[in-house]
Amino acid sequence: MTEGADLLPAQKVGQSLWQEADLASALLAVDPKGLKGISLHAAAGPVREVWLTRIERRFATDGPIVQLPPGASEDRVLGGLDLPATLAAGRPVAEAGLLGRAHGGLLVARMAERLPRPIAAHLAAALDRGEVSIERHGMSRREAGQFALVLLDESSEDMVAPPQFLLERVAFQVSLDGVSIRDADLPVLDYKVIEAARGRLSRLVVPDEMGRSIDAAAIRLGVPGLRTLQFCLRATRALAALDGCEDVLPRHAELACRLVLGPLMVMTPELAESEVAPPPPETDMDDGRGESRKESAELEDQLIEAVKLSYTLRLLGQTSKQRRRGMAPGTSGGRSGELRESRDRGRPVGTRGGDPRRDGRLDLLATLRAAAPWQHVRGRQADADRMRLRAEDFRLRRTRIHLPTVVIFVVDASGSLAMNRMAEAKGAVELLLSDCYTRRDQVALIAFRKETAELLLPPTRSLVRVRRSLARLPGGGGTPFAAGAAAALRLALTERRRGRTPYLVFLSDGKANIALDGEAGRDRADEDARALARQIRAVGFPSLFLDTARRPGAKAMAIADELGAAYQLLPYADSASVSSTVGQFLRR
Amino acid sequence: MAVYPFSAIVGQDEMKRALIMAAVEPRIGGVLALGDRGTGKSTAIRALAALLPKIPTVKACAYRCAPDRPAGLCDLCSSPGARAKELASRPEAPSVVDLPLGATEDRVVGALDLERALVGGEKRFEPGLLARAHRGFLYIDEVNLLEDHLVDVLLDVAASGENVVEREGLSVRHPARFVLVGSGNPEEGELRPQLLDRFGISVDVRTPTDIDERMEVVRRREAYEQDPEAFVARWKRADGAVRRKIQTARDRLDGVVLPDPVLAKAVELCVALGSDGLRGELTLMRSARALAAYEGHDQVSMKTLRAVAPSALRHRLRKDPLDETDASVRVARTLSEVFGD
Repeated sequence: MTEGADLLPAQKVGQSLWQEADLASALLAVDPKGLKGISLHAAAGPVREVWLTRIERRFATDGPIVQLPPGASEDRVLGGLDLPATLAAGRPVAEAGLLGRAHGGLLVARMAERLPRPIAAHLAAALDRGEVSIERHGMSRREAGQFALVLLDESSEDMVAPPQFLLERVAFQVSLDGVSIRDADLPVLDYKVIEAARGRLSRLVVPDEMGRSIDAAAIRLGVPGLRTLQFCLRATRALAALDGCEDVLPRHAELACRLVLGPLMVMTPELAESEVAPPPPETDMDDGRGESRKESAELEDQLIEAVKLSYTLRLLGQTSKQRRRGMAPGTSGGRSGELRESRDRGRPVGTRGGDPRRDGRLDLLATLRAAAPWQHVRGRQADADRMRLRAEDFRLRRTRIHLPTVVIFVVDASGSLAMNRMAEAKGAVELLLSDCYTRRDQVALIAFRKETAELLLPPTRSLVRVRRSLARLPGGGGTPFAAGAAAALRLALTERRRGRTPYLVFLSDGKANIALDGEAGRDRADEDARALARQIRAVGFPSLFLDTARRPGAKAMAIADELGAAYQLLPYADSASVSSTVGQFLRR
Repeated sequence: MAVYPFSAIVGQDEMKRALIMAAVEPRIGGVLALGDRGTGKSTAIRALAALLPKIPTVKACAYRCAPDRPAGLCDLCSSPGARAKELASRPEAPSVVDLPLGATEDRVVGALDLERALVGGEKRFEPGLLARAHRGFLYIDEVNLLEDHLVDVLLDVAASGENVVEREGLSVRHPARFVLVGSGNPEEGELRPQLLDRFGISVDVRTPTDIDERMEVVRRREAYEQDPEAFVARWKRADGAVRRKIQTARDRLDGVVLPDPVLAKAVELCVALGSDGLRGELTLMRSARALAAYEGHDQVSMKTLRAVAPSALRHRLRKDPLDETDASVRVARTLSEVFGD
């Protein structure tokens, strides 16, 4: 991407990215029902604040703007029993959740990359149906919950992201990486403009031929989902409306596809080789070109070029951000607050009697249930406004801490291994995977080769995905063991912060020849490898070292020693013994 | 908002057929729709609710017992005191109950009625979702994300057909037989094998690749979102025709014959595929008969058997978690071997 970086000055890239992000928010305001939402990748900071202020202003007259904080509980999100009010009233009193309260307005989820799965699932369901259905704590209700969703994704590494099933339910995924505050001051779209555009929206229709070109382009770009197609068409219409046109023009489709498909497209060699349009991006809608009706095939190609441009832009944005911070790719800035995640450890497994002052958390609902049948006996009048509680009614919450296991495979894909035992190493990993599958562990896969390590697969339970990324694993190049170990350490720390128990399994011959900084050289490579191994041991992650060399190697043993790892030679043709070793290691 | 009509769903024939088979013959044991996102899985299942023919139901019964089935009634309906008048029945549409993620156990199995307890001090059971789904459908979207303890409850109830509640000083049992319908995307996580086995038929849902079909999907969706009521009205007759066909198929079902050669073929197929247990064979036969009835035949033909085999067997292959060969491909291969073509 470096040649592209020379073509486009960083300033220009930042401006274009800002325009994309800002336009997305305007389009969402024009058609919130059809476009559903935006995921915004940006660090917390002034640029994001400007963006947020503007989207909030665009929605200001519509309805409430509700914040969904990262630690919100399911009760708060969905709504349910209002316990204090219930106690005071002596009968169940319902409380609206955040989703219901956002009806007709905007819901802003901060730290969306850390959204717990159940909460994300509720968001997805509400986006689909425009209503919230609640089956909790003795209540069964449906309430309206039609809102536009803003997901603020603050992830600094590629290891965590908002759940995929949520991302694909919003039309736009924009990024402010590489945008400086100087790029962000552009004239504000007036709310009246939005309102006028809304009025035009229902009269606009995307011509059939254009729709087909959009669809064909989306398929060629590797984004076949039907939701995405619908988003493209909706965005095209919304753009025409915003543009003040009474007809939908090709330039609207171009820009809409750029916004919707840009972040989703899969860059393949065929796509990359076809002609790239190098001129700097023009986001202005009145650029006056291409007014005449084009052949649909021609339009399809144009759409693809437009989307590729946006793809390139994003990459440039990411690089310029890293350059500005002076960060080597792959090093992560620390972020405070991540430890909070452990608060919801332990799943409720029922209640027990006890004294709430001494031990545990009171389960109010269960306490009420325990007391309720006795109210008459205890002499409470039907119209009395207070419950009669006794000590024996108190119920405490019982939780069981269940720490799911994540097995992180760190696989050496370097040339020395590729020549010899790549297939066997893959075979061994597959075998171990089927073990993990039976135990319902999560599995992550890191491979290292050439100069760096790569996270091929973030922790998942889906074997299909593991299988696929393993099959695609390329081989060849140097042995940057230290980089692999560093990536594994980072991931393991992240996982531990999320309340999981990581185990590391290394598959390598230990013959490191690339140091952590990417320089070749055996001695420094060895040194770095051992230093990282010591770190992993110090942090206390259990690990296993499977030596993939033909006979036990001194270097591998030395690293295993520093790791405090169990060491085993990967045997030939006897995968069962590998599996049993790992099995024992994980059970211990 | 009016529900998107079943007949207006473009393509996805296997999924639609599976749901219809389950509506004709509830004993098939549930439908699992796995596959790409955004392919209308939930839409189809919610649309099904509008197609279910009414069934005779005891009017006064909270569990919607059937008047003509003395066995398997709730305590009230089967008590000797309750006869004649109390058991008067009327036709009612079966319910399609949504089990949303995050539902608490007390809502699923039922619990003490808090309001009555607080206001009148009365100890009374408030039926949960399982009771409401009795004789109908229980739908779980993103079924692979369902919490383990709820999966346990479902497995237990699905096996026994009865919900036994022992909590808060209540001791209640009531019938809970329902068609379990689940949908999800396998990339989000695997389904527990025990739960997988509970589903009678499973369908693979793929995003269509034909541009005409795709445009039609989007066009209809757009028309529906613009004016749901008008859209539903336009499809009313088509939906009505499907409903009547399901009703006819139900009436005919008991009379559908399964000839011995077809039965032998079904067994042969299960053996060839190494599908574990008898459940595969049972489901295969039941779904073949359901489809035959729906298509207006009095006999199951080889063709019908072959048509239902992939749905009935694909999720029962002995699971080799690492064999990436698509289960559908394996079934198709075996099918052409067994049928000799």
